[in-house]
Amino acid sequence: MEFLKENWKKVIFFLSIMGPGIITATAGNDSGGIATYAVAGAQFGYGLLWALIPVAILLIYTLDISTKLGIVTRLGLAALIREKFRVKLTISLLILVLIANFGTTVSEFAGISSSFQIISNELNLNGGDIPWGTILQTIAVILSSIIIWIFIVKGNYRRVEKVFLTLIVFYAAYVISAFLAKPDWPVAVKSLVVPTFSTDPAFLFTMVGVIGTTIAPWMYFYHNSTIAEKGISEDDLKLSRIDSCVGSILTNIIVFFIMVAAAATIFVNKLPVKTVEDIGHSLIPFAGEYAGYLFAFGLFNASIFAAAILPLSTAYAICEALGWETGIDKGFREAPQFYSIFTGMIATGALIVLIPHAPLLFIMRLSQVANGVVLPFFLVYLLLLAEDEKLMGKYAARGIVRWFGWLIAVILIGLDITLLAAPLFT
Amino acid sequence: MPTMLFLSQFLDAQVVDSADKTVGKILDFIATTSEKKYPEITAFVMRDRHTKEEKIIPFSYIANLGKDEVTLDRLEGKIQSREISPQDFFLYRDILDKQIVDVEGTRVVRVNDLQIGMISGKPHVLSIDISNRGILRRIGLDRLRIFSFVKPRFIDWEKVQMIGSSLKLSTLSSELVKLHPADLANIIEDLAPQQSGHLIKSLDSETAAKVFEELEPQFRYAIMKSIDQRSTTEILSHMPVDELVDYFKSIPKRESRKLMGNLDEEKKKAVQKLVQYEDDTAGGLLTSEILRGNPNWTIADARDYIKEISDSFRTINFMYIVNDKDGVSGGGKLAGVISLRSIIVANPSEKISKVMKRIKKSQTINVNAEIEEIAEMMTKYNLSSVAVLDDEEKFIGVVTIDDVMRQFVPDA
Repeated sequence: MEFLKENWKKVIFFLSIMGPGIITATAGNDSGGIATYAVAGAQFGYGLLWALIPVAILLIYTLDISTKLGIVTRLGLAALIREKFRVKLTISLLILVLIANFGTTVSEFAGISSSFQIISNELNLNGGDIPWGTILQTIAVILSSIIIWIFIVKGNYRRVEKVFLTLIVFYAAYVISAFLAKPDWPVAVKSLVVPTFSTDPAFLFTMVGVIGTTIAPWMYFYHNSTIAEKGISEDDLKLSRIDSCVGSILTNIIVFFIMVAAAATIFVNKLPVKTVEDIGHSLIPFAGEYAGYLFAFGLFNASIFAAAILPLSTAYAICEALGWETGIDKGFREAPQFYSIFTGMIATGALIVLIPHAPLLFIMRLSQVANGVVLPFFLVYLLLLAEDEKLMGKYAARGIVRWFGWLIAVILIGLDITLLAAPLFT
Repeated sequence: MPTMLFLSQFLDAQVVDSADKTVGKILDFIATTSEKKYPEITAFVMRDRHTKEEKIIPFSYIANLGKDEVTLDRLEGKIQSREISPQDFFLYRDILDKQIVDVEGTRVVRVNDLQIGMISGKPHVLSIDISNRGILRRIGLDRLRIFSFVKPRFIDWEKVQMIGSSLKLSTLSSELVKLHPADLANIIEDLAPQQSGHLIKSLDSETAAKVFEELEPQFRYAIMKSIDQRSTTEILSHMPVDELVDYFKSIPKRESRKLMGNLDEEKKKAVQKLVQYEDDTAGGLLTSEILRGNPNWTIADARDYIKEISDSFRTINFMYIVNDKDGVSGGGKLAGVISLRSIIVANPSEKISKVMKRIKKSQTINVNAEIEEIAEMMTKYNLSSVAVLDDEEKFIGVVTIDDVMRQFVPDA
């Protein structure tokens, strides 16, 4: 009995530490991520599943660095970068981060819109004289942005975290839609552990895309700042590391199901797909309409989740670097710049999606390029901070941990450059 | 108005000797602390153009301090670098871009630039620039007209407190020490753990204990962890039992056992007894450090006793009268309560048992009672505090209205 009680206490304690890691890792599965994974499954079937294991390792390792930085220094990443790399470098990085994050925010609102497009097409809402489907999409985007705004501005950190953790549960939609797609499970599991290669450039680029979308600087800004805001202490380091570990694995399990669902239906039946909407529609004939709806719901959930976190992450980064007040626990009056940046990103992000014929693709492409340019610098900064003994004391990265970090950085930067250069060759 | 000088304008400036030959560039300024209001800038760090070594050059060598070029009063061969002294601190390395406490505004700010001024012909650090103008200056955009609306904002050097750098923390600014513990707590929450540890340690342990009580619960442990065992024990020994109980409940068992071992016997016993109760019950909320008296005393005895013991209580409103063998050492049955007012007004020779108000059992509360029940009783009888009895009906403490409010409005 005593044993049980003691362990139960441990679980409760873990739940109180849990949050930043799981939220960050899962939010990385945003609308852009889902599109990439689903298209990868649709085009190459189970062939790219093996990439998820290295992706999980990358995520665990980098989030671990961020955990340690946040706990030991109780400063956000941007503030640390400012202290070490000073104003000029920090501002250049921030400008790129702002462009990248803004474009990604736009793509999240586009994701909200797409999820309703899947539903309205299925219900044939645009068939009549009045385009009910388009109206529905517009209302969804407007309402979502208002809800996100009120929720963050009026909320405090603990409440916001609880809601985010609840949203994660809805990612189960993908698990169910994967089961509805009746995949060949033995093959899927085998493909997860046995890598297959192809020299097909399309395959390689998709592989790079799958790995690349997992690591985005905004995730680390958010992760690190919320660890600092939560005030997690050194003694909870272990639990906090478990938090990011669980998050990284969980998010890759979800990705697994997304890829499996697409592979079992679209790839097997050799349907041509390009967009995330295509995938939603194509699921229906093979896995039933519920699978399609679940897919759309999952996309909506992921998009709204990331649409809240991206502006937050950006606001944290800019305000910390420039020495302005930050924090979800503060009000508009206490942290005016923080909330202005947050509000501005949500408002313009949603607005751009609503404007007919807005250059959505251009903005998203620009954001991808900005993300691609930021990533190498960001990784180098992250690793230099992690191995700074003056800053990190006994938690400084040394020896094999340090070298592994640089190995990862080299691999990621290589992939990153490949992705950036890809349009030049195709 | 004379043009203002800033640290950022001199970083990376060329250093030329009296023959106009470039000898290196400026990496940092060194200021020296003294009794004076503003620290004097006594030297600069220069990277030698030839050897690439960093040299510390006395500021007195400078003949002309220009923004992009600094001219020395002697030839390159005559330059003698000096050593660093313990009073020295580096303006770029230690202060610029770092967090610093704005004592007047009681908050933590980031240093965007440092304003330098001449006092009797010598350069001194006058204030820190915390404005966005400082940032613009750093990236070279401050002269653009479109940014002229961004005004600089300075905090006088006297009104800031550096934390956790090479400066000895024993020199806490007198302004900082005068702050209310709640303000200090807010500042400490905004600092990195190491810095906040430094700051807490440099306060006297009584103030430190008060500040510690004002910290948000989630920060307490992290900050305690960043200071050494001895200071921790010192701080804990100045905290009242109920605060200790709250703290011990929030930290890992092994840790609280260790810390409890360092308390004095009496406190340890009281704490151990209370730690077992849930936060939202009378046992978890109560304060056990209350003024107790003996029914057989006279009013004069009570007054003498209060004079003798008053130092150990933050506030005294009531004396709780306990039927105990020696009256005041804790435990025992509660007989009644007497207000400070009655103690002052009543005849000194009167016996306490005659003056005190008897407490009916219906107006006390069991140690396991939940907060709603306590709040209800307080409202019903208009009480600002309720006596708490344990299961053997012994008097163990008091729940005040503040304790209840704090549970209902935790974020205030």
